[in-house]
Amino acid sequence: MENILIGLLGSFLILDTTVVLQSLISQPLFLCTILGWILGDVQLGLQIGIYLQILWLSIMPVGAAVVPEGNTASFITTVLVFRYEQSSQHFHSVFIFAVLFSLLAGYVGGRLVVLFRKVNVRLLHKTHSGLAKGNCNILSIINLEAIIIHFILMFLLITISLMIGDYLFSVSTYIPLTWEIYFKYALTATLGVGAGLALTIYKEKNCRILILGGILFGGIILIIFK
Amino acid sequence: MNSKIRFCEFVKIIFRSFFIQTVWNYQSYLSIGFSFALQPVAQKIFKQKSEIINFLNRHLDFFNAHPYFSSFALGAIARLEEDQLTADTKDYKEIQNLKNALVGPLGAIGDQLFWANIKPACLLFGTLGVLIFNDLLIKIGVIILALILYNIPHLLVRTLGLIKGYQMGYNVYKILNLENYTVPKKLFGFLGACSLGIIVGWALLDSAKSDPFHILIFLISTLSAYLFWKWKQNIYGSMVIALVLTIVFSIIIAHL
Repeated sequence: MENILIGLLGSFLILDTTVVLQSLISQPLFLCTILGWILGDVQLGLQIGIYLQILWLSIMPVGAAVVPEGNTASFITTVLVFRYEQSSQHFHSVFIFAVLFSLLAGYVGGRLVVLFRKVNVRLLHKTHSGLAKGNCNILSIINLEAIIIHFILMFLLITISLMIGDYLFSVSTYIPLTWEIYFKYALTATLGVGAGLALTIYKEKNCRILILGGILFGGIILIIFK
Repeated sequence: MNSKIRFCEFVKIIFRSFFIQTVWNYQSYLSIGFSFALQPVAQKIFKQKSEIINFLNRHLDFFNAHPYFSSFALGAIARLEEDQLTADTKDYKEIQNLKNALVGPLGAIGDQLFWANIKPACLLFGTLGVLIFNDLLIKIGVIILALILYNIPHLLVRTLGLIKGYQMGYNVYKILNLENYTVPKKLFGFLGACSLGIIVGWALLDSAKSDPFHILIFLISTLSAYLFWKWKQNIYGSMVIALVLTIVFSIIIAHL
């Protein structure tokens, strides 16, 4: 039942990614915070959110490009971390495996977006025939249909992913605590991957100089204030 | 010219433009959303149902643009459709030609400005705030600020684009030049690059204080993700390779 409720919430928020509004509320930074608030730990939601945000930052939904469903993947990662890090005391290992598992969900999400766009071609034909029959409201109906279809597709993706995730992650309680040491760099690795991919956005020489300057400045203010 | 389109129609178009990408498809791309957003114009300027249907059908032909910047096209087309009412000869081909001509600039400017600059800059700014502040309320305040920082230009482009497009009509293409957006592009580019640098510097040194191997892991993951992306242009591959590689190195470090 909890998976269904979380699936409903996730698929509603994910609508913001491309289907409605596009206000950024579906980005990991906000999505994980909202989820953290609902699941009872905003701090943890924020902490997960910043790392996932950097990881998925470089995705650009340009034109007809099929990009990974990073927002959905982040949503799934956050739910799994919330569920299993507390019971198993393995924050870093649960986090890294949740990220890797969610990458698969992000890939499936990308394929579902392709399917959705193909379904929308049918909706285009339906619009033409509706107008031919003199139905001026057909555009509103078609829009609503598309929103519902997208909602259902993402709901199925989130719910099924969480069910599979529950099955896979239930073994995490049996992993010896000593193994946590192998995954203690999980957050740094996530930050590194995100930063490496972000370099593909900031290609210009000036930007890279600013990034380097920022690294030095960040280090200095850390030393001064912390 | 006596304008039939009033404030009320503009508000309706802006509201409907939030759904412009809802039925994006591989055949006509943004057309359904475009036609849907312009429906209030059709209902205002035409009396006959058949005319409204013809209007909606015309705008179901191929159209694509950045979702926010499509408002320039919405405004311009609303104006041209209105102008056609008083024209001696109806020339709807001209309208379609303008739409086709706007596809390139609207997509290029929007992608460059929003997807490549404003969006990452605002998200990185929010991330930075969460990272450096300790107080939960300040953290939440910063991410709300990041959301506002993004949505001011977002809503401004949707609103002003519609108004400018309507005012300029066929001449709208004259203002659609990336050079006109150099200042926000540079400002947000600066904000994004600096924020990314500070995030990396802060987070890395913070964790390296207790264990210097964090710097090694960071370099391995950054370089492997970047180089794999350059080689294969595959985001999944870049992430998986880099993360698995760092796990392997973590295991090696643990046994040192």
